[in-house]
Amino acid sequence: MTEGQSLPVRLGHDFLRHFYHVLHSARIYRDDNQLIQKSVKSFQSILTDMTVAGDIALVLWRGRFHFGGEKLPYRRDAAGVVGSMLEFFSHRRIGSMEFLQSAKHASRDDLLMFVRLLNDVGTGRENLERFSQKLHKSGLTWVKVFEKLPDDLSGEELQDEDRIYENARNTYFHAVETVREVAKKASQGMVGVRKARRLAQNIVDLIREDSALMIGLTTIKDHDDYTYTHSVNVALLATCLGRHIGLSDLSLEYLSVCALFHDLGKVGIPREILNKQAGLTEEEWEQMKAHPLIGVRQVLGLNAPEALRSRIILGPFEHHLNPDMTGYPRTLFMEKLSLTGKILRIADVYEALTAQRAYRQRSYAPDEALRKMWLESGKSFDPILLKRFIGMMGVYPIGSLVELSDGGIALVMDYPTESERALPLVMRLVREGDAGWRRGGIVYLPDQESSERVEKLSIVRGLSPVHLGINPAAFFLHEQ
Amino acid sequence: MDIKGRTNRPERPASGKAADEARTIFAYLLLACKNLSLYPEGHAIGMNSIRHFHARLTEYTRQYGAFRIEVERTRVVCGAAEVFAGPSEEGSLPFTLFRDGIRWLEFERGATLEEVQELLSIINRYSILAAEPEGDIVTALWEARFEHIRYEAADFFFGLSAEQTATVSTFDAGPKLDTSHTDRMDPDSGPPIDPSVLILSSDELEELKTMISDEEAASASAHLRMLLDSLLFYEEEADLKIILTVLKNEFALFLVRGEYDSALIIVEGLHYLARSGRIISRLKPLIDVFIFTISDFSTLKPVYEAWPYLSLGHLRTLSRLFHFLDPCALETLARMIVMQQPPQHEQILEEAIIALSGQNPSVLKSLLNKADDRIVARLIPVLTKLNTEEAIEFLLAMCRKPAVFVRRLALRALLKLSAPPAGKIFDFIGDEDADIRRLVLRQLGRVRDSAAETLLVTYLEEGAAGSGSHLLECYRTLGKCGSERSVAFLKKKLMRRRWYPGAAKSPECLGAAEALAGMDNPQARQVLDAAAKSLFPWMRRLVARTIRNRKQGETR
Repeated sequence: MTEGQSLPVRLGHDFLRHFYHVLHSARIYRDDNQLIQKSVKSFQSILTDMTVAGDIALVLWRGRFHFGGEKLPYRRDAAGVVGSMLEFFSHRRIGSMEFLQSAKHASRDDLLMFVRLLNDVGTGRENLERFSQKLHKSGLTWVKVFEKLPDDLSGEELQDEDRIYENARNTYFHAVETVREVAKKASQGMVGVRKARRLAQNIVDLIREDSALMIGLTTIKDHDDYTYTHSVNVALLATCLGRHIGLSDLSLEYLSVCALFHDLGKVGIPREILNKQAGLTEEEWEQMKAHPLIGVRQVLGLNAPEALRSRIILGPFEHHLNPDMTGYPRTLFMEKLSLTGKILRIADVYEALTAQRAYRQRSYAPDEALRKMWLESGKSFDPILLKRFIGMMGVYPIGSLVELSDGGIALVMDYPTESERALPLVMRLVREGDAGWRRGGIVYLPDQESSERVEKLSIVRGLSPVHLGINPAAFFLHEQ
Repeated sequence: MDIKGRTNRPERPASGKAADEARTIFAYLLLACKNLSLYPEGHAIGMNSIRHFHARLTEYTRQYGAFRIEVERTRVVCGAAEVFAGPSEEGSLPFTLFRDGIRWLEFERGATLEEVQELLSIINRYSILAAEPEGDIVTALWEARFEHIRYEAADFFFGLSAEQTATVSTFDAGPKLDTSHTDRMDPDSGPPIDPSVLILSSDELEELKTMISDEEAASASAHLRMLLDSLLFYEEEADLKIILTVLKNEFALFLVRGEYDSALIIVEGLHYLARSGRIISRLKPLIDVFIFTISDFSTLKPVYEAWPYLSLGHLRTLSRLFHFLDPCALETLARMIVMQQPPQHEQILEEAIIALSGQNPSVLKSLLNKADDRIVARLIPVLTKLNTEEAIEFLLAMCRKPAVFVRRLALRALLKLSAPPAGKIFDFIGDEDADIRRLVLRQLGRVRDSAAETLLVTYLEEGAAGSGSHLLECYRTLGKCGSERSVAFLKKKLMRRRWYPGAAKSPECLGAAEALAGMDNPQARQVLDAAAKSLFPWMRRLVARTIRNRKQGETR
């Protein structure tokens, strides 16, 4: 996702993508192919834009690309392209390429020749030297290629990503602990919200950095402490949706805190009722229906700034109300749901549907859950926000397990913005006997769409992670 | 550990001069923090020290790019220079920053005075951390989103045991159920979603924009309506009290902030609830207590202070709000009505006072008894609009107030409001104020009234006090309200001092003659005829003059 990124960074990723596409197409197609002509044209266009103000260098240093002197930050939606380009550069021992200002005059034929020569470079050092000579001989003087210098690969290239994973993991676990702690203390006296606010602020920052990762984390389900993981998952989903529709950081913080505490009222309900497999008796149902109000009372006991409290108090009360104010608790004074309530309603139901619950035989696969919710659009959910939610999650939501058309199993990792969020980036999962599953290659489905192959790879259906014994979150956090 | 803000370091002060300057700036920073904690916000001393710090900071950042302090447990470092060392005391800047996990704080070139002021205010606000705090410096800095101030904070969970940061595989996803059918699709979950239906129309985009702007504007009323709704469901008194306490605090805050619409939602809602049959019986008295509590002066004081300057919109809202208050709010409203204010302000207050007084007149009575004369005098015209038995009683009571101007106003209002029985106002006939006496006599003499007649005769018989003119007026009034029953008394007054040298000029004789002439009945005329034939010339002259004057008066 590219929200909030600077122009140079975004152009850097675009440049890499066009460069990758043209290299990739040139390997497959002949010069007169329409697709390669299109790729060259796109590459020429962005190269012209990038060199209009002067020379520009693409440098590979310590496992990360630097463009125009600026390190390209990690971007999940660009991970597939960046990974392939890293491999391409490393395989050919290329350390950097300098595109001179004169590159803007390079013809499409020149560019295609450059790309074909580059594709043909072998692994040895002498090959790179020979390539440079060929470039010179062919008059392609607008580009210079330099060999990769030895650098310390002790791990800095992974530090940024690792930091995000560690931070995301810590934030998730501590959010669960904080909700548990607040729930426990709330019935005994005043509880401060400092921790919750810092966690919420962390969540907002993390979502800004990598919202797909945070959505991926919501696949964590814990049956034993369902209410707590559920609350955290709802907070992540709600905050992602809030960010997706353009709420300010402060509103996102409030939304996140609200979601963390939206089910505080359930803490007092006996576990036997919460996990009851058979239908609830009338009395038990009354108890269940009381949890929004118990939640309101709990939130009132929080030591929170007045502005925050007046916002977060709506969550517990509204999250079982429909846009037409049906649902529970019944209302006399409230005429409409707040935006917070509408968002929570969507996040809460989606999370609950995708969780394994005692009262139904199975959880819904994420795509199934969305379809089920879509049927209730306008009645149970605000239609505009639900559209935005499905758009954000993708028809096969991030974190879904899917079966590919070649029979493989993959995990939906993200919906890159350049594909207009229509097709996802997926990671193949490979079974390793009884040892479970390991990471496979990244497949960028928009590429498949534009390829001329007869057998285009596509998603056939969604799968249940429980049945396959897969914990999607572990793959998002690189624990597997 | 999470790192906020920028991680790259600014240019460090290399020279000894730069280090000295850094120490000086830090000393200014410490001083500014200290002064901010010692003096109230906005105090000149605190503001000056912030300005001095900012001036130094601006000079330093202009030269070196940025001023960054790194906070350690027992020292503060700026680049290579140690700017503070030693154990820091609780409440001091280094202690507070370290306690909340601030690792470094950096002022970039361009940091404004407002930014610095806000930062120091945040630090000061959180210098003492409560046991269950609502936030800390880090949460406040995050929300402040300074443009030129950066920081790095260790997360609060930094240093916690590894057990608390388990892997996700520690979670158990679900109950042990039969999952043999888990990859079967639910036919009820609907057909695949066509991505094209997810595109928002222009109307939907507009609606979304409105929803977002409403959310960002943070409507103060949404949660109020929710709290009111929640009162319908709670059954325990303790729960109801919690909600009402929150509403009370919110009500008070809304008045302070001038958000009267929100305050109105609370009282209007509670009023509605109290009258509705849907609430549990124990809520009604709690609502009554609530309304009583928020109607006191301490809660309404912000309205009192802002009142003369309020806009028409606010006035309209408050006009509605006042009507939902308890009559004890009359104290505040009475204080407000004596302020200098436009007529529409006064009109709203009058209406509210009338409405609240009607609910419980005893509150008004008590207020009238204890309020100062200025307020009582201003309330008198309002009382006339009440037009109730109580209002008349209150006005009568006001006629006994020590202040003459209050008594006058009260009596005039009373006479304007109604024709009180003679017995009610007769007490004031001997008032020290001539105007009041005149008013009373005028009222007594309006019609022939036996009660007034009896009272006057008794009054005159028992030797009424006062000047001759007052006595004369009393006789004249008796002439207007009296009947043949008084003729014997008047005859006696006219005739008894006939040997007395000054009798011709005594108020009794003059008054009795005028009274008899005013009565205009056969018995009175008979006495006057007899007097006109008296052996005493002065009496004959007196009667003749009285009759002549009367005829002239009638002719005129």
